[in-house]
Amino acid sequence: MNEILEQTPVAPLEAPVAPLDATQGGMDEKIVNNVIIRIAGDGGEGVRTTGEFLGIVLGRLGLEIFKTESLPAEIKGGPSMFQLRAGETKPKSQGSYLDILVCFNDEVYQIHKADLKPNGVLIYDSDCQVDDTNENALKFEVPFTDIAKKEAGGARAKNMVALGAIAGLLHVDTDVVDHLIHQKFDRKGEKIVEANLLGLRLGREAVSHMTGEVPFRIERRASKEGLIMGGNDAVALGAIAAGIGVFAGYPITPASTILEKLAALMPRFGGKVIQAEDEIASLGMVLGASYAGLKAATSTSGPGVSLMIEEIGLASMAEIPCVIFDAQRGGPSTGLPTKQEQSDLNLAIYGGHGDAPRIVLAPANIQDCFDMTIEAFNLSEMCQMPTLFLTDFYLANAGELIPEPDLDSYEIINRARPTAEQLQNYKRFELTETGVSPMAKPFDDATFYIATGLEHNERGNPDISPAAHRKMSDKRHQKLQVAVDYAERKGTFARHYGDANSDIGFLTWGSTEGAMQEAIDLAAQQGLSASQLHVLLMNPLPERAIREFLQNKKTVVVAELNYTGQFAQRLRAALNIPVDSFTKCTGQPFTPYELLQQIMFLHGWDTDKSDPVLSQVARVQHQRQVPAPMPGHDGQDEAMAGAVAVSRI
Amino acid sequence: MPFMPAKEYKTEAKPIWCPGCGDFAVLAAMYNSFSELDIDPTKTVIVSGIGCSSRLPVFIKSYGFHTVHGRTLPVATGVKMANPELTVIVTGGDGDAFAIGGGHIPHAARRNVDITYIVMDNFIYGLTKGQTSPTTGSQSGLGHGFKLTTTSPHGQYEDPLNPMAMMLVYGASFVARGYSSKPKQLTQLYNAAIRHRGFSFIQVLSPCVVFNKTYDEIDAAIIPLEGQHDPTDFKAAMNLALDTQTEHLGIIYQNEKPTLDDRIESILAKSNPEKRAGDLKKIFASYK
Repeated sequence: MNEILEQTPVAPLEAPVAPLDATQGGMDEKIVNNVIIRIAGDGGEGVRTTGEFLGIVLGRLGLEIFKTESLPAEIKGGPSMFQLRAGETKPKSQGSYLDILVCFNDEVYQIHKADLKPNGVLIYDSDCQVDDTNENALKFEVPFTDIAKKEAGGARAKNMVALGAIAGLLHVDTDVVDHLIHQKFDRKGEKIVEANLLGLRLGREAVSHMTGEVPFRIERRASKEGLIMGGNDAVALGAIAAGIGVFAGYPITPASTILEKLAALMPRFGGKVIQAEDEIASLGMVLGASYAGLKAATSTSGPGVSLMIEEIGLASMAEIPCVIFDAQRGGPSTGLPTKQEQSDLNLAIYGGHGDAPRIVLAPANIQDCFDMTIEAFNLSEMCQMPTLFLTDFYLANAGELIPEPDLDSYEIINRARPTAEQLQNYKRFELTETGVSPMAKPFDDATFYIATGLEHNERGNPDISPAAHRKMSDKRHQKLQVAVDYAERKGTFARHYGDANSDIGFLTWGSTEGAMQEAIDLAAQQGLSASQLHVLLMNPLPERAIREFLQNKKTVVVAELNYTGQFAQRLRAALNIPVDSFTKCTGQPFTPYELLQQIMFLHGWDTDKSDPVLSQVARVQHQRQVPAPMPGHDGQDEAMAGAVAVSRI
Repeated sequence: MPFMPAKEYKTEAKPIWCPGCGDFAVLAAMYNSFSELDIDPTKTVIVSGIGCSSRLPVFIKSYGFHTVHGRTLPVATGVKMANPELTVIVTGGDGDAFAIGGGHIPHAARRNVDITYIVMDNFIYGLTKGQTSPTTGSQSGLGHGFKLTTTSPHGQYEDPLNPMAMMLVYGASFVARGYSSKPKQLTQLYNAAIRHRGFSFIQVLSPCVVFNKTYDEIDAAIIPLEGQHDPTDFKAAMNLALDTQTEHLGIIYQNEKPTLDDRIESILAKSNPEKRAGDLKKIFASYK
């Protein structure tokens, strides 16, 4: 568990800022296969199609993609964006600032303009009021709307015009794009195919005079083996791999596609899916199904978990295995349904009345969404306890290339069942050494028992005596150790990154892992060391791994996406350790840039020293580079600066 | 020869109800029905909520799930989905069913989950000592019992709801009413409800002797349905249900339609056996 999985080599100390000579390099020296592109428009303007198609094309050209979306809460209309980061190796995060920003209208330009690198590339529709924010950017006006309306057969063609333009600017092989259009639209008839191809061509032609200036180029590489998958699909397939029998769910953003996916697929495996009337009913059905002997789960988001809390207590009390997938979104209340936040940790760990132990897991990436889903079922079955699985909006909507899972390599654990002998004098809640007692199920056993939310004795009969409550509370909590032991045996529930010898440590959880890793890599290039322990088992905590990590640390910072520093508070309370809290609560994920800034701060760099380096890190490495302060450092982006808080106990 | 005589279904636990409580008769009728129907306790699950009546599973030999307040129907739906061969019976009171659990009733009914839902209706919250329930009689003259409860000290100004009419409108495929003072008929109603394939609802008038003693009132209001009513006639059933002056005892409505299990099974059957074997690798291939 404490082994160093990956250690970043520390780059030799160089001058922090090494401005490139403006005359260095020629026009053909382009950045190859390394670019961050954001497409922004209103919902319904084709942002998503443009982005999805571009992602598929780049993937087919052998690049690794990191995909993120920000959606309006409305069905149609409202600003939305689709971001793609492409590289020859797997990008660890969505990145910090943009290389290319494509804006379909002025409203979205105003929202996103500050995220473009000072010398990035701005492509904008004619109505955008481009201002000084991007004075050093390469700016191209492409009248997407006009072209679509006047030449390509209607405003709906805007997505294809944009795709053609972006592909053209990046020197993307035309055949690959055209092939995709055929693949997607051939069955809809020749007219549709032709209309889309026309849009593409018009987009390409509109930028043909500019491609020489754009400092990026996409080149074909050997295509990579693997599956391109999002977090919700990975959760759904993980549940199938774990052997789920019944799934009950209620639609909610951003978790709905887990329910949809399983509704489509589970019948193929003899599994049963039901859309419940509300989240309380969802978990009720799950508990009934699990009580009757099948592995069962539900998916929801924060508001749904809030509703389920009473039944989570019942599952804990009556010792019924169940898995609750929570794709977190911004809260409280209805909050920010389509934004990123990690603020359900308290709810997951503590939610409910009484002492109701449960397992809480948090995956960091798409691979985890599959692997850890199987572990969620394993832990739940093993400990006969509810397991909450905290993904988030970002994971639900991300897309990554993962290797095809080797199904034989996974350990699948089922609940302990009574032996024939145990059934003779069956005690459902027998006090055992581990706290785990064999669970009978109706029908196939020559015995019966009552599962109850009342305090009970070993046979399950109501018993509210002092002794019963004490002993049964012990039993229920003892089982947490079973989870800790399992986690230690597996060694996969906490991950190290960075320089283990560094006395600066970051503790992270959930989908912030990649951005932190990238920040550590960037810091290492500046000779600044930092190390990271990423925790996947949020309750019970993998205490040994955390304490070992802390041994040589002078400063420990918990970086997380919520207002109050929920994980930091958990660590202080549960382990009595001093940690600092670094939080962001804007509905957006961390950028590596923000975390790098923290590392510099912890190394004692003042802003005079750190700002130029931060600019360098975020700059396009091209002859057009212009030393310019980054957004957020000259007061342009107060919202962002104000949202990040450091607190010390 | 029955599988087990009625008394064999008793557990060691003694009922906690007050002397004279209608629920004793409800339980006794269930012992009898189980015996008459040859119910195998290991193949039966009784799901209950919270309240006096929801303690019932503790006193009868079978698998039981004593859940939280108001959530019996979703839990029972899950049990039945997981193993359609189980006999699933749900018990609860008027508060558990019609107040906190009211939102689940239409959905269990429209799904036609093959379970038997027995609501012991005493028109009061008994376990918490005498508060108003959704079926407490009102000052406007509807329903039974005290018009002054601990939570309506100035008079019960809300009208009670009509469980029978509600169940009919929601699409329950079996709707009946029994009375704890008519245990023989109650046993017959249980037998018919458990045998019925689909969502069966029985309202059992089961007075609370401590907080809402309504035996005399109910005795005066009951009329057993004897042969003159056709339970497959929905309109006739609705007329009986809307007759708020009379408590018609018997099967008000019964109709056959596909159950939730039938519907799910038809979906499973549609996926061909090869696919149903479920090759995850084939699904992975669609992500390449």
